[in-house]
Amino acid sequence: MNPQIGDFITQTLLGGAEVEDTEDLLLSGQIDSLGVMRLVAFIEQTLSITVPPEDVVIEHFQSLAAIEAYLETRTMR
Amino acid sequence: MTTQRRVLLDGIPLTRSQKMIWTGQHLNPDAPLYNMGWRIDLNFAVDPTLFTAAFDHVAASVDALRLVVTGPPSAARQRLLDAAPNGVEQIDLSAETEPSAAADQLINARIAGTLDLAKSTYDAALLKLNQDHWVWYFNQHHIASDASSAALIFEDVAAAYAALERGDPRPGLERPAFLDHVSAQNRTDGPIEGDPQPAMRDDRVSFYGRPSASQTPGSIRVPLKGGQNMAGALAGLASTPPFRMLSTDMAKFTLWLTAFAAYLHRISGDERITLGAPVHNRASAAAKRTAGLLIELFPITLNLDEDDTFLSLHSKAKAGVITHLKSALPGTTSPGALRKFHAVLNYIPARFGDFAGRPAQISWRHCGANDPAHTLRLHVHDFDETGPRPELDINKGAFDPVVRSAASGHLSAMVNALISNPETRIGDVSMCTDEEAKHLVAVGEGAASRQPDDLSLILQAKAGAQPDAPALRCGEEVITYRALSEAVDGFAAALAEQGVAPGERVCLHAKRSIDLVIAVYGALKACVCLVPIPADTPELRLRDLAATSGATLIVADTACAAAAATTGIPVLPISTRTAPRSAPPQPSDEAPAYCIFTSGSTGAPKGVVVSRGALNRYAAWAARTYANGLKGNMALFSSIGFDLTLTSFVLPICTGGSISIYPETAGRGDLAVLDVFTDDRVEIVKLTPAHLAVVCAEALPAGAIKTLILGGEALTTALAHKALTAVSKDLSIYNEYGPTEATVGCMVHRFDPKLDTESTVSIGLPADDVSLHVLSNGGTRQPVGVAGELYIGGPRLAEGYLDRPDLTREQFKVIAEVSDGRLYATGDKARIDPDGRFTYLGRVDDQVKVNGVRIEPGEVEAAILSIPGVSQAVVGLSGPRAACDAAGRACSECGLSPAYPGADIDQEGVCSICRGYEAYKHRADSYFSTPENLRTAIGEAAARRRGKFDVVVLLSGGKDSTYALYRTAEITPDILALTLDNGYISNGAKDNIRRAASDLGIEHRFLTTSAMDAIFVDSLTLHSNVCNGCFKAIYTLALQTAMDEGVGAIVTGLSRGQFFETRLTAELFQAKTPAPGEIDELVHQARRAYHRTPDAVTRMIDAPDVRSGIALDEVEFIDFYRYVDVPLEEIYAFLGSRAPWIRPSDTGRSTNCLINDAGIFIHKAREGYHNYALPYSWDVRLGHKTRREAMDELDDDIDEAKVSDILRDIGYEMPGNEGRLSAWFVSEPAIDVASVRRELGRRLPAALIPDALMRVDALPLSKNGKIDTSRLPTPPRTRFIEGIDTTPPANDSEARLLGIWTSVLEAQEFGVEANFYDLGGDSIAAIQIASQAREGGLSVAAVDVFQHQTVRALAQASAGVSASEKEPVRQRPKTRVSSRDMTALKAALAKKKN
Repeated sequence: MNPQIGDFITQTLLGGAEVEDTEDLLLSGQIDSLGVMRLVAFIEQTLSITVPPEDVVIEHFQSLAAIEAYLETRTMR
Repeated sequence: MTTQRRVLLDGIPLTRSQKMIWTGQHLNPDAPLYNMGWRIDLNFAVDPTLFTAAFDHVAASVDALRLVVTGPPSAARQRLLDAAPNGVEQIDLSAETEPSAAADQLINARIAGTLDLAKSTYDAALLKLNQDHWVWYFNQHHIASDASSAALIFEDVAAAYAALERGDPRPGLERPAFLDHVSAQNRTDGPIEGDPQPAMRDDRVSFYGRPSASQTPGSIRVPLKGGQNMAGALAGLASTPPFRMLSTDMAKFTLWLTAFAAYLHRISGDERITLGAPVHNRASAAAKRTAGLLIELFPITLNLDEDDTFLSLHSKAKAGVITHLKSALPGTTSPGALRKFHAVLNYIPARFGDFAGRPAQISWRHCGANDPAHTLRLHVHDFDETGPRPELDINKGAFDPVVRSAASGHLSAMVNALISNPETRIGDVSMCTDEEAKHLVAVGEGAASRQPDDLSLILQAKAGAQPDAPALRCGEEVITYRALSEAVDGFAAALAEQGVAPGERVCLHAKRSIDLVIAVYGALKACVCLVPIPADTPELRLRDLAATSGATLIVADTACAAAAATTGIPVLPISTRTAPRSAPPQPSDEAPAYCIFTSGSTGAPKGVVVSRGALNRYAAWAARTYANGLKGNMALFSSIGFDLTLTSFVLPICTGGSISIYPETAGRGDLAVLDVFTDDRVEIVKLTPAHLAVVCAEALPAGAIKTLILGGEALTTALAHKALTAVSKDLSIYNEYGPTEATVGCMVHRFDPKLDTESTVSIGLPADDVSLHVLSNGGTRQPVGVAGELYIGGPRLAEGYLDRPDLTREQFKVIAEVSDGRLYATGDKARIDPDGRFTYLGRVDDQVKVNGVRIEPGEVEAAILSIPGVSQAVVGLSGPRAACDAAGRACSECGLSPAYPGADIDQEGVCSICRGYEAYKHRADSYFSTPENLRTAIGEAAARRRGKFDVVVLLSGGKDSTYALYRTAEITPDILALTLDNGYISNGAKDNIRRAASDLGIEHRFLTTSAMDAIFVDSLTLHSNVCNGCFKAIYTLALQTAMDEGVGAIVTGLSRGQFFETRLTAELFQAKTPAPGEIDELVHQARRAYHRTPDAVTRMIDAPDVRSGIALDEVEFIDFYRYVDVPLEEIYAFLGSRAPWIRPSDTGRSTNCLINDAGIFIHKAREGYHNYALPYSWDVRLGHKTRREAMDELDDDIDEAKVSDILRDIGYEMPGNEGRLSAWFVSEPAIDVASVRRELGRRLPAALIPDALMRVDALPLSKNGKIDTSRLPTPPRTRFIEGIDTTPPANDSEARLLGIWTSVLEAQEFGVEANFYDLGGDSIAAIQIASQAREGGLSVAAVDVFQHQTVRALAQASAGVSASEKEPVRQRPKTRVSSRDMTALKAALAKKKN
């Protein structure tokens, strides 16, 4: 994962908490929907891409692994 | 120094969110707007000492609880106290009979008080109800808290209590400091640009028909009925596709948003719904743990269209929410954004949990007030997880109690409709309860059930009862009832002899005469269906209508006989009488009485067939309603093609009164209405507002005329008042409403000058036998106040359209849920007011009405397209309509509206003015100078002085001129400051002016003129604004004062934007860089021309040195900002620190003048764009405003009631219909405007011929291929006629008349041989010409203008009868000159080039 984005998630959104790659961040409430939206804004700014509304779904953002997988599909295009 | 220490000493500024709250509180100092109060029930044996200690401990550790705020809104600071300001008060309520109720009472009282934020931002108490039940009352000001913050403090107090209970004396509590958040925000926040006043808001939004202005902070909170079930059902939906989102809170929020937006759409009629939704801003781990105010309110906008279902709206809401959250970055909200909405959806995800393992119930308490800008607020919260309870806050000032009590039910209906079937179309949801619906059907009562007698029988009966009473008069000729009855029988027999059977159609094509009335009653007697075709109908159209009608006979008088013969239908002379051979046929109510053609949208006029029963019912009702104690004598003077005229035929016969007939007047404009009022013989006159305006303009006082019935178009309150002044103060004025399809009139309101204060007069209540319904586009009832389409039911409906069963079915519907019988869909928009009256709100389709005549643009388009060589055409109203649609396509650089003439927006979305400026801005730089040269210029002026002042400074009191004054005072103390007091300067501005003058110790005078009102009226008439007149008055008075005081220069505070707007125009820099001296010379010339242009200022202000031109030679103008370039922030900073200047808060915008709104309103209405559009675009171009700010400020909304008060005060009458019927067409080169106009004259009646015709290269298309009317160019107000005569006047009276014609006809330069009609003259223009000529001492009547159709002919006709050549002649401009510098300068430049 892009290190800046990784940092944003672990430091800013999670406050330095250690999480597993596959741990469900949304369900556990560690990141809420506003957090995801801030992340989306951050991703858009950092990678100069647009995340369309239809991509903003649980499947893409529920865990670090999911986020990474989503970003891969976006940067491969 | 650490943040904490700095805060202790100096305080730190507020965040944006805090500033807005602080300002809001400042504006309503006594309202508990931002109290966030909680009742927390603790159901266990609380130890009060421990609780108090726990709270104190938290208050000492959480910085948000130790903040205090002081200072004015512009410079507020927050400081941190060393220790908690107050603890928990202990109150024992256990002795009360009902301790819990006593607690509520106490809480309600305390929460309704305001907190002194200089001392503390909270109030807390522990109430003992009994040993095992305690209530913690906690109220925090929103400036330092939000709901999540309250939950965090709750958690802390609980934890501290538990720790103390365990014996831990110093429970460790760690919260991130709120002030760290504040400091971080202040680092990223820019200063709030513009005015941080939440009171300035978008007042166009109107829920339940009430504009959102005039609200008080008071509000009531109503729980939604069955709210818990609804919330449960929505929560269920939230977890299923397609409603599922990132989190269940987000999904629930989006569902509530969908339902709330749908509700707001239905109660406002707006297709673009903007509401506010808070964003909690606790995304990061640190923020989640911070107590304090973190939430921010952001606008969210959804666009709805007619076909949206909840499902389709939900998918828009989803995208909207995602964008909303993505862009809602902390610290980015702004006052501009916040005044865009009046509804708030407050979905609060905060949870409180239990109190350290013990049960607690959380209840959020309403303080009885909220931000006055919020009309409706929907809260959805579930603090203690016992299930969400949606609640609606309703502003008390906004709605009538009827609406207030029904509103939450309407919202519930929307939510339930979404739940039961998301695919429901939003327009189809029935919001009203059955109980409510009962009050929403208006049915006229009275003699409803009885079918009145047939008109022909009534005539017969009257002839028997009062045979010698006069029935008809025309000139000196009088016909008695007996004679009338006999003639009617004779004509009916003649029809029978022609073989016309009952029910057959017969055309009537004749001028107004006694025979005409006989023919109408004869047709009724013979039971034929009459098809009236007015005498002035062009031949092509006559043939068309006659053929369409399927008539077997055409009745014509001698004047119309030849034209009638061209139809090929047998002609019966109108004067034919035959001895009756058999008894007349028996009249039946179902038989058709007449067929009147109205404009049809497909191009062909449609015939409305009305039965005898309907006509008889109308006649009986009209007689009962209008004849009140009168004989019922009426005037017949209007067109027979217009069903409004029928009243004059039928009412007098029902009451036994007489009909006075006024034949058509000479010339093309039928001015018989003037004869009616000059004659002043009848009692009742039925007329259109347009005709009434003509009568008022001619000032024809009447004594016999007692009653006016207005019909045909909306009646303005101003015109009704004018009639009372100009005609008679004892008039009864009735406003009658009714489409031809519902037989003449079906609603009426009697004008009450005291109670009728809206800008248009109400259409009142339904007539007998009429039921009225206001329905949504889905055919469900609209609640009180909500606009919808007006439907009419009852036995007065027309039978339908002649030979058009399809159209009849479309317009006359059966809607089972609403009514048993047929309902006519009027296409008119209306609402029911809480008092049961109806207000007319315009059209739901694009049908237009001009001067009372109903026009389907499609019909006019079809006529234009029938002209060979024309390939495309579009017809509509220009003016007011253009403005609304144009907003989205403003210049992408400066925001200039495309409605601005010549704003041509290019492919890249940039306007031609921006493009032009790019090209010449570097050349324009040479015009600007330096502060040193300002000193020199003032020094030179000082050397010229003859009195005690070096310079005059014009001081408006605004920021620019105040700054200029202060800086000029640094150069010289000998200043005379002048302000024009136009009567509308805001008190705030006046205070600033007085303070500045006394601060600087300089002499200041308010200049006044008694002519101010006349100047405003003149300026509105000539320029559609008030500013031009005001500016010229200032310059004129200041120049004369400078001369009187011996001052050599006037310093102005014109901004750089104003230079470019008015004088540094592109033309000046086209070829080269002009030398500054050259520009000065041109400006000087332009100024001379400006002061020579005659208008109210030159006429009415006595300024001899300005008139002679000496003042302009002796007094120099020094434009301060030519020499000084200073950014806006610096001006504000300077004024903030150096000058006692406070931004006025009583004008509602960044101006000092309260009459501005009236100017803006008229300008938008007449010109189709805001009169600040150009000046603001220059502010943007020069970097003084952002595009967004300029557009926000232009997107203002005007309080129409205030505007009409102002206009009434100054004596300006708003024309009833501001729109001009305009046509745009594409054609071969040979087909020009003049030839199209000529051809239309052969095909259409005069009323349907567009006022403005414009040939375009192509019609602009929208994305989906429709013609985009918003991008059509605005036709020039002046008419351009090719090849018009330009013969110059040969003598003084020709010159004077030409001046008058030019100002009235708004045409380009023309000569004394140009024809009145070619110049677009009509009856109203003739009246204006005549009245101005009479003021100028020339004897001219309106009719003369029609007879002598050129200036030369009119001058010759009036020669010899001229009243007095010696009297001062009222000067009018020879050609229309726009008086601002720009036009004059352009003219000067054009001459120079030659």
